[in-house]
Amino acid sequence: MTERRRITGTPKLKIELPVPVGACQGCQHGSVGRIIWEVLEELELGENTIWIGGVTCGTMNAFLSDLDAVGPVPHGRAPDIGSAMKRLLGKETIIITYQGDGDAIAIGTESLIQAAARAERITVFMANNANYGTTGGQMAPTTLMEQRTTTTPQGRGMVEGFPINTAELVAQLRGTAYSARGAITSPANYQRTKKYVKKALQKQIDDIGFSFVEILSACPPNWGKKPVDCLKWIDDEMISQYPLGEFRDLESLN
Amino acid sequence: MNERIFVNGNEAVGWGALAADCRAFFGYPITPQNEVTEWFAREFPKRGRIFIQTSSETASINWLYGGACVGARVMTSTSSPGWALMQETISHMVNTEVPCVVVLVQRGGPGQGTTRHAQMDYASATWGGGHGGYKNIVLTPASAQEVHDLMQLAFYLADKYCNPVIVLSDGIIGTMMEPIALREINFNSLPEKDWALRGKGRRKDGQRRLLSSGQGLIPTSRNPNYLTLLHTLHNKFQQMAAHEIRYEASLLEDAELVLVAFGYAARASLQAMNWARAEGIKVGMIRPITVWPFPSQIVKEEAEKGVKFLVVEDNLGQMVMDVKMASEGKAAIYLVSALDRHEAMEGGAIYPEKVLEKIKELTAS
Amino acid sequence: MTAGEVLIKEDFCLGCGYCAEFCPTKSIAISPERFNSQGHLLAEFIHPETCNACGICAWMCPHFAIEVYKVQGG
Repeated sequence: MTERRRITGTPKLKIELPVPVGACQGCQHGSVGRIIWEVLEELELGENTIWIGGVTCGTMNAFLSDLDAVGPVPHGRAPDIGSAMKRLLGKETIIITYQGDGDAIAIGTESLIQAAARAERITVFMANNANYGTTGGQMAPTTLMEQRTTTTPQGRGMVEGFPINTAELVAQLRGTAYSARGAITSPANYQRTKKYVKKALQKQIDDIGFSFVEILSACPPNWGKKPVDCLKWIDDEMISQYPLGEFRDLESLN
Repeated sequence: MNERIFVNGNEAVGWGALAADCRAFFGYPITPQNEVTEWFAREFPKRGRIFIQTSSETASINWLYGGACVGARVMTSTSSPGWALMQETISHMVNTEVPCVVVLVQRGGPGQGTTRHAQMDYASATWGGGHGGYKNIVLTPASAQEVHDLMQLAFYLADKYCNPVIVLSDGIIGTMMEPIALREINFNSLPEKDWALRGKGRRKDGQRRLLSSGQGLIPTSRNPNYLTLLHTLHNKFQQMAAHEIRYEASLLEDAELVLVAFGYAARASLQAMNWARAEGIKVGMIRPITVWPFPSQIVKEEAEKGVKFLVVEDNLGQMVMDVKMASEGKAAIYLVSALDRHEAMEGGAIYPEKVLEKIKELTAS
Repeated sequence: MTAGEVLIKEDFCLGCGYCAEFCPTKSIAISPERFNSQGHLLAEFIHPETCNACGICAWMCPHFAIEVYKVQGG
C-alpha cells in the first residue's frame, strides 16, 4: 500500500485561479507573495488579517489572497490606509501592506516614514525590483547607479542622484520595532527571508511597533535578462548596494 | 429641551459628528478650519474615539480611505489648499464605493489666496474635483445650527450611497459664534455594511471580502467589469439627483427678482431681501442646501414665470453657471461676486448693503 | 522505498527555470520542445527516481505551478 503525502505547493491562503495572473516569466512578485502567505498560514492569521495592495505589479496578490483585502489602493498610500484600519480595528486584526519600491519609497515616502515614526502596529512589505514594473521599466528610487531603465537610457547617473536604502532608513525611526531586507536568490535566502517575514509579523502580533521587510525581487523583462540571470544579478550587483540582514529588531520601543 | 451651547460653525462640526456617532477624525492644520481639528483633539479621545493629526491632507484623506474600508463612520476637515490635495483619493473612494465625510471650510484662492472666507471651491466640489468625472452630494450650511444638523445628514447620506459627502462651509460660517441646540436627528435604518473589511473569520459566512479602487480593472463581485462599474456609478448619481435635493425658498409667490445664494452669502442676501421687502420691492430667494444635486427644478419653474435672477456668491461666478443651465435661457441672470467685496484686503466680504444696491438697480422701473 | 513526486501544473508554468536551477538532484529540467498554451517551454519532472521531495522547486517557483508529494511505498 503506498501513501502519498503532500509536502508543499500552492499556499492555502492563495486563491487558485486557472491561469497565472499578471506575471511575467520569472517575476518574483509571486515568490514574495508566497512567502507571506506561507507565514500567515503558519502563524494562523488567515482569519483576522487584512491585506492592502499598493500600486505595483504585485497588487494582484491582494486579489489572489483568501483574506480580507483591498487593492489597488491610492499609489503610495497603503501605510496611511493600514494605520487607520489598525487604529479602528485594534490589536486583534493584523494589517499588512504589499507595495513595490516606487509605491513605497518614491510617491509613498511620506506615508511610509510617518507610519514608522508613529510606531503604527502594521507590517509593510516592499518588493524591491529596482524599477517601475507595471509601467514598463522606468527608473525608481532603488534603481542602481549606471543601471539602464527606460528613463535612464544611458544608465542612472549623477543627474538622477543616488539609490535609497529603505530598510536602513526605516530602521532609524524611533517607532520601528523591526526592519530587515531579504532576497529570493536561493533556497537558503528563501528561508532566510521567510524568517524575517515571520519576525516582522510577530512584532505586530506582540504590539511592539512598526515592522518592515524589503525583499529584492527579479523583474526579467525590464532588466532585459533571463530569469536565472536576474537572480545572479541580484547576488552580484543589487546586494552590494542593498545588503541583506536585519537592521532593527527590538523587543520594546522604550 | 435640547441643551443649547454657544459655539462657532467649526466647533458645530464636532458636535454634529458626535451626534452622528462618528468614530474617527483624521485632520491636518489649515486656517480657517483649525477649531474643527482642535475640537476633535479635545473631545474625541476622552470619549474613546479616535483623533489623529496626520502629516498632510493627502495623508488625512488616505487615513479616511482606510477607515471607510472597515465601515467606520470617519471624517476629515480641511480648507481649500488642503481640499486640492484630497481629490485623488476622493475619486478612489468613489470607485471603491466606500463612505466618508469631508468638511471643506473655504478660504480665498487661488494659491495661498487668503486665510479668510470665500466660496471659490463651489465648482471643484460640485463638479467632482478629482479625476474621472464623479459626483458627491455637497451640503451647504448657512449657520452653526445647520452645520450641526447637516453633519448628521452627511454621515447618513454617505452610508446610504457608499460615496463621500462634502459639507461645504466657509471662513465666516466656520468662525462666527452662534447658539445651537444639540439634537440628535434620526434617519431611516440602513443595511449592515457587509462589504466592510474586518478579517474573514469575523464574518458569519467566513468568506473574504475584496475592495478595490480599481473596480472594473479588478473584477469584484459587485462590478465584474469596467462598463458594469460605470453603470453602477451612473445609477447611483441618478438616484442622488432624484432623491437628495434640498433647498429653502422664501417669498417666491410674488417675486419679480429671485436671489440665489448659499453659505455666508445667503445670510447677507436674506438681510438685503428683508430690507428690500420693507421698501415694497418684490424680491424672493432660493437658498440651496445641496449645491449638488443642484435644485434645478425650482429655478426652472421660477424662470418660466419670467423672474430675473440675482446670484450672490463670493467667487468670480461659479454657481451662476448652474442657475443659467437650470433656467434654460428663459431668464436674465445677474451676479454679485467677489469683485463686489466691501474692502480690498483679505477680510473683504459681500455685504447686505451691496446686495440691496444691486436689487434696487435691477428693479428700478 | 520513499520517493518524491512533483506535479507540474502546465497552464501555470511560465518556463522561468528556477525549479531546474535549484533542484539539488537535477530531477527537473525545462523541456527543449514542449510548451503550454501561452507558448512557454514547460518544466518537466524528468528524474522521479532521484527526487527526495525536499520541496525546493515549489519554494522557488514564482508562478505556483508545482505541488510536491512524498510517496512511501509498501
